[in-house]
Amino acid sequence: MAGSRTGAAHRTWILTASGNDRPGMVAGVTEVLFRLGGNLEDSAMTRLAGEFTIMLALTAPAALSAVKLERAFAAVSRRFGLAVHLKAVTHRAAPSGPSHLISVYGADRPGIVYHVSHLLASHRVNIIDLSTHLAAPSKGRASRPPLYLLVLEVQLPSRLSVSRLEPRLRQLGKRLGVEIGCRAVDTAVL
Amino acid sequence: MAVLPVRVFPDPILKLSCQSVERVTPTVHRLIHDLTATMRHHPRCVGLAAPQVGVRWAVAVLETSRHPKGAPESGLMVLVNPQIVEADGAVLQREGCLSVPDLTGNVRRAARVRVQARDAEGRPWTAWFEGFEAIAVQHEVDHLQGKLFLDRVSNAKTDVFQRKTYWRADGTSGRPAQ
Repeated sequence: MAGSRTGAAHRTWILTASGNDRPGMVAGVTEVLFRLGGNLEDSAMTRLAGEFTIMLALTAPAALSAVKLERAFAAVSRRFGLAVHLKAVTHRAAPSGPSHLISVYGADRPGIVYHVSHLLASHRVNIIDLSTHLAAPSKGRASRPPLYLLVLEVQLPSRLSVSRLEPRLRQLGKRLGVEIGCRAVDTAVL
Repeated sequence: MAVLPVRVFPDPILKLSCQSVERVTPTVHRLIHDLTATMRHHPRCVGLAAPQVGVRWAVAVLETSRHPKGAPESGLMVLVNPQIVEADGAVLQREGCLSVPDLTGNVRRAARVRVQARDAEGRPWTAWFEGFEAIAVQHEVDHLQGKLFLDRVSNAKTDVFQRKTYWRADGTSGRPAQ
């Protein structure tokens, strides 16, 4: 199946990989892609718990099957001890409407992401981006609990207004003992 | 003048809106003095709002000349019941806060704001602010409405940072002991 936006000769894949971080991993993965005649469309790379993690949206010639692609990454995977996973993109998400930012912060405790995302899911709110930050208190302030910050970019279904969602988020915030706020993504028009 | 302890999140007072000040009484005067003393006690601190010292009144002080980015000629400014009545432009600036001591964050603010407020004698004034002063005044007005800079960051990973430098009272800086 050919990706509709990339022409008949190409196909879109999502590649995820993770392994013990060391220099050369990005070069190793992207070199394979380059030699295959593929193209990198989008990427997210970061370190999680000190582990190198990478997510790539890539296009590759349609002639390359999943097996062939996996084989192509086998050497780099062995060399860096990378766990590589490939998934074909079969359809593109429909273009979406304006988004909102939900910030959540408070003393760290288990279940913050779960409870917030569960509430959003029950209102058919789609999470399109999620980032978190756990602040370690400096020494001498060890009595303070670590501060957990979660920022979600979401899209609301057309029949749901922010004014209806906000009180529910606030209520949940009270229950969890965290601050929750929601605002429209304000894009600067320059 | 007294240096007061600074409230740190999750202290609930930081998330509450402040009451406006009807009259600048001697109590309000003392608060202004204490806010000023407390701000000046903390190196590089350019502004402090009443809820940060545990008082739910719409009072803040600002002294941007205490920071290298501030204009050296700008003196102490007292903001009683400040309101932003006009704003334009946008700038991104790394902000820190005494009440969120372990983090700093990239926050988008208006580049220019017109502020309406009263001074330490209760006289109304209005003025345009720009540059570093505009950012500082928006940060303080946020405090008086129960907002922290964390309410304004767009990405927890790319816009929020662990504070690396803590300024000591003697003006020197250093990393926290590991």
